[in-house]
Amino acid sequence: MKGCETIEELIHLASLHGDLLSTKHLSAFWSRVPQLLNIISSASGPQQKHEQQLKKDLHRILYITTKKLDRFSHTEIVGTILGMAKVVKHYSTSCKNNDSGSSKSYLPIFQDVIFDQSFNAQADLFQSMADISASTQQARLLSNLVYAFALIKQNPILYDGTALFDRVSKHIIDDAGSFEPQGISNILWAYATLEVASCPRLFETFAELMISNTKLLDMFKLQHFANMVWAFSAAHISHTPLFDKVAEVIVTTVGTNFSSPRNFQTYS
Amino acid sequence: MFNPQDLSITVWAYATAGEPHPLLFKKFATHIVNELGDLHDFIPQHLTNILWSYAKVGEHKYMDLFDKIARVIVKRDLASFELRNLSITAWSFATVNILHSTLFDNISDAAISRKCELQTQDTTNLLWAFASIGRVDDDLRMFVSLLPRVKEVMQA
Repeated sequence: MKGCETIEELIHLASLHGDLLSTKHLSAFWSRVPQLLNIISSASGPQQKHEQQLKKDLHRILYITTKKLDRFSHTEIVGTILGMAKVVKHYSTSCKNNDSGSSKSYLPIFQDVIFDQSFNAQADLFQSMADISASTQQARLLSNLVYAFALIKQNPILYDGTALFDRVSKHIIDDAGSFEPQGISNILWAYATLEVASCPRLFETFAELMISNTKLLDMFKLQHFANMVWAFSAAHISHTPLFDKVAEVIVTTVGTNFSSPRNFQTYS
Repeated sequence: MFNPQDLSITVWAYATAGEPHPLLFKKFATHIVNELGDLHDFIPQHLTNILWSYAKVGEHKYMDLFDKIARVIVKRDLASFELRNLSITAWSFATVNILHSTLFDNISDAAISRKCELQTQDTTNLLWAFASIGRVDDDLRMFVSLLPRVKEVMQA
């Protein structure tokens, strides 16, 4: 899937394999879609005669995906959710901004497949994926999972009646020390975006962690800081010691290359 | 080099949280004024966020920062600004009591030509800003033009 350079090529390749697609391939397919939407350079989209076929093929790939959902690993299901959520976000944002970018020509292919006319993600589809993914306990997967659902502004109720964000918050809090800056800022951004009632303890946990672990703050990029302080403000959670600490780090770095983390050259 | 979005989000967050960290705001202001050129990467939302944040914390009058952003905005086509951004811009300058005549004239022109799009909050912000900064006498035409909208606001 990674070798595909156009949406048509990707959908064509996946549909050729049909039922033979493994869960790994299906996850790779959905992860590749938003990447290709972001790098479309040609102003011309699919020809109209191909559009219907592409949409039919995409429907089939989605059908195979849902049929095999219970066989997906946690990594695969979270990758799939994140890929689909990014597609929804891509189109909801470009529509809101009245963006005439070339990816718009592919809109009819995805509309009514993974999101509706109002760019709301198909609730049933994401609900079933949430049920399967909610038991994951790996840090990176948890941060990607809540980030994906925040992108589509959904906090689905799981089969046992708990909301996804409430369910996973316990794992996140228990394992807070294992998250990297990107994961922390994504999690806080996600909980603030969805205004989850259970979030104060989660915010407090990360705040204490960041204050007590200077090495962790040294790994933050400005984007992480920006999203993090935005999240605290948007969630109406004040934490002066954290804001002071973050300000100290930013101030010492103004005028230097803040696009790279400090003391951690390999982080990407 | 700072990403405009990260910079504007950061000052917005500090201002909203009521954390007017003076050193942080001073450093950012100096950086924007001296090191970021003509701010061509800053979209209207970024500029508005920055102005609003500095006006909100209000502990120090960042004259250079407001002057630079005013000069940047008057060079742009205000059609690309939402009226909300323009009303917050006017509100911010009035709050810190910095009058930039050309900027206020351009905002007035934009408000008059797009008065049908004005929301209640935008109208209130604009009128308060122009009255507060002392542009009432010079710019009665905006007040007259927005009168019907004011009537609607008051009835609401």
